[in-house]
Parts: sequence; structure tokens; C-alpha cells
Amino acid sequence: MTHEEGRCIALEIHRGNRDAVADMVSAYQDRLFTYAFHMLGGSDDALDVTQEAFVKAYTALAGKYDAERCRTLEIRPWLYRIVRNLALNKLRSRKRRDDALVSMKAHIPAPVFDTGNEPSRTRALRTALARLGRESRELIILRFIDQYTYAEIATVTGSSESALRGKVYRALRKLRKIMEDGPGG
Amino acid sequence: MDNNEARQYLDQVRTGEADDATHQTVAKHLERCDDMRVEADFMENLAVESPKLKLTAPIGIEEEVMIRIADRYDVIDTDFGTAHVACTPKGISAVKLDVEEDSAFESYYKDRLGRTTVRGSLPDAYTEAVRRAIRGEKIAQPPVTLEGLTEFEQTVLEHLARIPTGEVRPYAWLAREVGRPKAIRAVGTVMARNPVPFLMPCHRLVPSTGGVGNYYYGPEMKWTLLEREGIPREDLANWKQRGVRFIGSRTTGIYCYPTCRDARRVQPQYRLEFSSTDDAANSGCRPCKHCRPLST
Repeated sequence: MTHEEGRCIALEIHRGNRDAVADMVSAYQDRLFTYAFHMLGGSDDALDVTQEAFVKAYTALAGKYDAERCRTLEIRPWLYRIVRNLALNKLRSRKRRDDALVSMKAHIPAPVFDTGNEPSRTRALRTALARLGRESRELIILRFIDQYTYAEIATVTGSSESALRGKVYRALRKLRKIMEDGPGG
Repeated sequence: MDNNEARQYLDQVRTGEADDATHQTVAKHLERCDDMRVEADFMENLAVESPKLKLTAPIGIEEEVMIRIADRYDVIDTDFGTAHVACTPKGISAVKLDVEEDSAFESYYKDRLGRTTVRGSLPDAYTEAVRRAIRGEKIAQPPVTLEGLTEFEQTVLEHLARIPTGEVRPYAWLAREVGRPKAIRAVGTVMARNPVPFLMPCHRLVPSTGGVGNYYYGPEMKWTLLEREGIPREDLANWKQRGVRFIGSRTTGIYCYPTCRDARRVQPQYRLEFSSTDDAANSGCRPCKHCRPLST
């Protein structure tokens, strides 16, 4: 979907066209789900976050935002930001919950993936990605899975482009280290 | 550019985002530095491998989202009994007193506004706004939305909402206000089909000849609402009986509709009563700029 079409969708939703909501969902659900899934290290929460993001987007476009704001909105990075905030909230609440469990010496099972007949290299990457820190993982997702430009990543994460160069570089080094050290390290 | 800086540009050189000068500088560093070559290869591989991690969203997201964004309605208690009240993210979209079953309200809503609605909870502010409107209290900006209505209906209702609490105007007056002076019957139809009564005050529209005229929920409710807003029933009946359509002031030389806030301030000893705007003009009065009486 081009930027123009994205803007058109935002404005249509603002005008109360429900079909445009369906269009927005079908145009962005795969990307947003992928982003949420990897951000959250893979879990059922990704589905919740994706749905919640669309509902939030609708509420904003149909209610809070005026027509002018909808007309000029860059919908794609905006949707990513909504997913990002929801995913960060989830991670925070998960951390609180896990901290409580850890203090009770409980065991937390690792998330289970359906990795069926995935090639080993892809699986290795997935595992390595899950072991990367949250911020680094996000940058790798946006840059390499979504193939965002640095300018686009900057609008999603709020970092400057020059700061991103350093951050992406360091994220890549970490990822390479994890993959070279192999599983279990 | 030193070697460390060059490394940070490797990724953007890879995708062609970097400019030509950066491209050449990085290429030079790349020739001399094996470490950097390893990094470049890693990025290339990652770029090939990563898109395979793209996922397809589970089915059902669209359906779930559409259910969650459907207009909500709830049944609330009011002074006039239970009311079905629906809203969208923009505001209250419907208020209905005369349905018992949820299914009846849902099909009314679909027919009237072309959208589905599901039972859920309403923001407290909305519930409160409906109750207050029914109690005849002033609501500065009624939280309503007119999505799904025709442009004419929207214009008429928006102008209707400008009639202050505690005042009434003739149907013909509203027709003139919206720039369609002949569309008096059409204005009446908009009132009869008003999906947000009380909040969009269709009870404040009355016949030019006086009295309260018709109301979707019966004239008795219209009398009650106007009385709650501070218009005594006797006054309306009295003006109608005596053919008083306008009230003027001897001191200001201005005439108004009898319920206009300016008319109500006139002391009895200075009050003039007129049966037509011609009458008023002949007495040397000019029309009020607040209630803008329609020439008769």
C-alpha cells in the first residue's frame, strides 16, 4: 500500500467508512503481527497486541483526530508506533509478573514455537533474535524483516538517524556474536 | 571518515541509502579491512535470511476488530423510563425510549444509521448527558455524532442545536435558518426521525401558531420537557389562545419570540404583544438579533 492510499484509508475511517477499517486490517495485519511477534519474543500476546492496535487506531482516527490530521497522517509508521507501545507495555507487565514468580522460585517455561520444517539457518536466526536484547531485536526486525530505511525507523522509535547508525551497528555485532557462539551459550 | 565511522555506514551503503561520497569512502575501507568484510557479509546474509521470518497473521483478526469497533449500546434508566443509548468513538449516535427488546433496537439502528451495534458499556459522561437532557438541564455541547445521516439532516440538526435551552422556535424558522425556507415539512420529517432526541432538541421546535404541536413520543412529553427547561405550560397555552406570537419592549423598541431570553427580561409595564411581525414593525419595533424572528 502506498502512502497516498494509506492517507486515503485514514480519512475514510475518519468519515465513518467501516469498509476502510477492513482494508486497513488486511493491508497491515501481517507486518504488524510479525513485528509484535518478534518484539514479544514470540507468544500469544502478539495476536492480542495486533488486534488491540487496530482498535486503538480506529478509535483515534474515527474519534480523536480531526480530518486534517487524518489527511496528513503517515499511517504505516503510526501503526507501528501503536504496536510498539502496546508491546512495550506487555513486556513491562510480563517483567513485573516474572519478577514476582522468580521471587517465588517458580520456573518459567520458554515460549514454544511451531518450527515444523523451517530451514536450520532460519531457525538459528529466530533463536538468536529471541536472545537479543529488546532494543537491538526491535532494530533488527524493522531494518531486516520489514526492510525499513533509517528515516522510517527513526519515525517509529523516535531516535535520530545518526544515533540509529550506531545502535543498528551494535545490534548487528551482538546478533553476530550470539550466532557465532551457537545455541546454549 | 575513520574506520569505525565507516562501519556504521556499511548497512546504508548496502541498501543504497548512503550518498555516493559515503559509498566510495566505505568501499575504500572495505578493501583494506577484513573484519569489515566479515561484517558486510553478515549483513548480506541477514538481509537474505530475515524476510523468511515474516509471518502471516492468524485468521480472524479482521472479524475480531470489526466486532470490537462496532457501535455500542446500553440500556439506561431515565426519568422517562428505560432508554436504549448507542455511541461511536465520536459521540452518542442514538437514543430510543420506545423499544423493549434489544433486538428491536438493533434492527432500528441498522435501518436508521446503516451500521450494526452491539451491547456493551457506555462512557459515564454519555449516560449522564442523556439523563441531564431529559431532566431539562442545559448541556453546552451535547456529545452527539450524526454519522450516517444525510447532509440535509445533519445541517438541520446542527442548526436546531443552537436553539438555547428553555426557548422554542417555529418549524418555519429553522427552515429559513438552514437556507431552505420552503422546506418546512422536510424539517418536520427530520425532527420526527431525529435519532438523538433530547440531546438534539427537536422538542424546542413548535408550530408558528403557538402551542407545542406534535412530538414523536407524544405532545405530553414535549410539554413536560419544555416545562423542565423553564417554559411554563400556562404561558405557551395563553400566548396561543390570545394569538400572541411576538413580544416587544417599549424601552428598547425590539421584538422577539416570546421565549427568547431577551423577551423574558421585559418588565410587564413595558411589554408589548404582537400577532405578526408587520404589527411589530408598525409599532416601530425592530427584530431581535438573538432570536431573529421570521417575517410573517
